[in-house]
Amino acid sequence: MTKGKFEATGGSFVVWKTAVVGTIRQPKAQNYDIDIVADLRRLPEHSLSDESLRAIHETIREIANIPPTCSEGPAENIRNNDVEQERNVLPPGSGEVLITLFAPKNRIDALLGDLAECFAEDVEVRGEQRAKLLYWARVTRSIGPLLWTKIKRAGWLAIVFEIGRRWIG
Amino acid sequence: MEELGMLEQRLMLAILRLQPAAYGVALQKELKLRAGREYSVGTIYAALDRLEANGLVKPKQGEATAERGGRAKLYFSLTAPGHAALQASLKVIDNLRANARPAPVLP
Repeated sequence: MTKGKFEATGGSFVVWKTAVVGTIRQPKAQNYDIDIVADLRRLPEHSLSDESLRAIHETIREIANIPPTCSEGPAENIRNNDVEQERNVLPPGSGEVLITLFAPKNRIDALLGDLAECFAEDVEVRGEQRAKLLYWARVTRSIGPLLWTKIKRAGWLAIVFEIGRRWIG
Repeated sequence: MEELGMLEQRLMLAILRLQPAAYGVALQKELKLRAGREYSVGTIYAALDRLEANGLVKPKQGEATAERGGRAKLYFSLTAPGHAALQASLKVIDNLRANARPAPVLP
């Protein structure tokens, strides 16, 4: 739903922009169409027309990438809609690959499980985008100590290999 | 046996506090709450590996949960040598603190 189409329904640009910004800040709010506008703009519910409310709702769904639960139906259903779409969000796979490469074999499962647990918690509290950023931050911070542990363990092997390589080369 | 570093000492104390539910995420949160510092899970597991290599802690596999992607938790507990090493390390700090004079208060 573009700004122009929203305004054609009688909604103001300010309300539309507020709803979009509010979606980014509160992606998990259930009745977010009302909560966001009422909270951020201090507007009473009845000041919004049903058409404006439906347009806000569609925009938020598009941005949050949530499939519609009641695409046909009166705006009252949208106001009273408390169906929360369950989305199974997984941590980034490439982050798991890095941990698998650098972690000791007997700790990979536990490490990945801990990171996944933190990720799930962050998705609930902070939203998916921020959770992914935090996940990458955790992976990046963890690789250094894990790699150092591996180097310390294989230190003498690495030295022997280097000497042999130089001798041959 | 080498002396315990600050992180090892803190980890062992956190394990004692959280037993029998001392696993990676719980230890990380406990250290952040009590020590005011957030260690990465990699740092925590690297330190736990050193402690295990020295025979001071032992791991035990726990239950898998859906939020962990079906992966099991790994709980840690102190061994008897671990308890002894921790007590010895804390005793050193107590000995140093015992007769330490407070800094004089200047007028």
